[in-house]
Amino acid sequence: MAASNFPGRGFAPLPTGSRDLLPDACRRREQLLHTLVTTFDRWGYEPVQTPAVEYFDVLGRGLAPSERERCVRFIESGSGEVVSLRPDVTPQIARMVAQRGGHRVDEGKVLRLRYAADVIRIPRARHDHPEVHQLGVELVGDAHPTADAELLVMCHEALAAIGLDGAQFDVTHAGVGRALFAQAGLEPTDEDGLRAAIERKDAVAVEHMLTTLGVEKNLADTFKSICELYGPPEVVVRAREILPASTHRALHDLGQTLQAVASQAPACHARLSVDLGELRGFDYYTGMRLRVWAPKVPGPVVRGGRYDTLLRHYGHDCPASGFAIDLDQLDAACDQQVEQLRPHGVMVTVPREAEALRTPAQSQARALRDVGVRAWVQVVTDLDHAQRLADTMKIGEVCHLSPGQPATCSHYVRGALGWVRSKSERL
Amino acid sequence: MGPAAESLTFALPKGRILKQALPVFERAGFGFAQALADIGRELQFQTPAGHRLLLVKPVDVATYVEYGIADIGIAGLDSLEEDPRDLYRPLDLKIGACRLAIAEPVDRPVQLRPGVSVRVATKYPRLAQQHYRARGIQPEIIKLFGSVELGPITGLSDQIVDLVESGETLRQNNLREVETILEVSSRLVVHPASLKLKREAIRSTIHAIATALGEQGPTGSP
Repeated sequence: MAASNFPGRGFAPLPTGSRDLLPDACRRREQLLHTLVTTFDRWGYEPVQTPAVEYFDVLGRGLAPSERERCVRFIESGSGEVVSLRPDVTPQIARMVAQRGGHRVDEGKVLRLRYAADVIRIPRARHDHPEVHQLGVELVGDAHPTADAELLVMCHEALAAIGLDGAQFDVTHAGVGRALFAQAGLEPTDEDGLRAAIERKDAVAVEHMLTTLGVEKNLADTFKSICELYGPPEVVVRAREILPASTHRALHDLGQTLQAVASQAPACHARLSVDLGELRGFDYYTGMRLRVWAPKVPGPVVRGGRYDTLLRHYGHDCPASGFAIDLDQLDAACDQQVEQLRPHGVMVTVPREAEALRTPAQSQARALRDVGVRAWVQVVTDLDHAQRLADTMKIGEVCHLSPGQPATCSHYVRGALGWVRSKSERL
Repeated sequence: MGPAAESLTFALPKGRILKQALPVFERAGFGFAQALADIGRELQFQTPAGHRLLLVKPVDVATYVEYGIADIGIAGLDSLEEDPRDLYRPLDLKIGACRLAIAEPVDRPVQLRPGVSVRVATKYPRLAQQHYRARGIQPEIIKLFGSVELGPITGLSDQIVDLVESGETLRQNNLREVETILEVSSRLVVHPASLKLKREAIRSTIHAIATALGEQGPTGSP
């Protein structure tokens, strides 16, 4: 859009959903990130970085059709190839591992990787932001259900570390829906329709569709029942009694994951729920699927799951599982729960007209930094201005330089009753 | 089973649908009717049982639920389909029944075949577009906010896509119904996060309403 579409030079709008993070918010974000990254690192996850732009053909191999549609694409100058901003980091990690680290997985090494990245996708729902700030992990080379338990327990530990209470870890297994749809053998469009109705837990529409499509009674009853198969982890046990044998492998794996969580981290297990009617990401995930919900935020704070066939698209067949935290949603969920971090340090101030003192002011700041104190130089009109400025910035200490014969440097500290001079010295 | 102890926020559509929905909620054990009778022009209030009610324009119900401001709402299938959102729709309340249909002047019928050009006035541009396209027709959609019947009468459009209840309004305006696009009724909508985070409260609410509707509701908690 041309800048001239925005009348008045004074207003410089952002596209819908884009936003800046000002220092207070950004400091909070850094704090969150630090805590999460520290947790993941402690579990042995190594940092990696992927490019913001990739060939669409390559990225698209690892994306569901509905996700491909959401890619922001353009033409690479010179080659004429279509490139895309990354809408998801997981396919990039899959490409990276398949191309560069596959042999290590073959030798039996499990890769534990973590990343922090912004992903860009065309929004679908209105509360979707086009830009999502993610922190994610991928566990490559371990197909066992207990590997998924590791991810659940670690995720719970990371969220607990930032003080997020009341999060609900909702899991399912992609193999359940897959087995049922394979049995039904519907046309792709009919399958999409039925799946969407089940995802909405719309029993009326599910029933109507099953009748229209002529699905045989036993299987129809099964589809209807999965709309209701949500609740505490024990749902898996009940599901095994209701659902056909084709789903039992998936249910067994899911049960094993839940069992492993129960024995490793009862606190995490207490926050687990199961929803077998949750079919989202069906064509991408192959096993356990996770969404974490937190009070007060409309979208999931964490999404993830197992995708054992993804790396195959990049030339190396190996199992993998992972999750990504949506930092914006997490920020909103933690709103009341993370303490505001006040910037601290010493502001070294120098009067505007005392140009000769600017260099000594920098020396003062450097001396403070050398002993580990946060310090910077600020030009002011006078001491009063310096102190008012410090108050608005919530800075508790000012070091003010005054010209004269001799020039002085005085420290002031904010006490309960106002500013107090703590010491003064000649320069 | 009566309503659960945990407090929920309901987004309810002001007007006709609410009048039809209240008896259902009464039978389900929610004391909404008395609470609603007691208030004047307030749009937000607390029921004696501790639930919070928001009275909003019917088309806005889904928005309040989508953003997580309300846990549960009552929304017409027409607005849910016109403006799709990621919400659960566990129950058909079987009230506000009508249908979204194509209508045209009795004396100026349009042959709906692929390639035909047709101008359509509607409050539902997305659903109309989708339906015509599925028939191989590229319609020219004219978005209106009310009195859609006036479209063909004034020559603004050839056909209309609008909600039809008894068909009386169509007859009065010398229009006839051509085909049904969607059978519409009011649905209970639930935010996914609410279902996960307040599971028992939501579940017992759905169950109580389903029972009040006299149909097979969700089975109790496992």
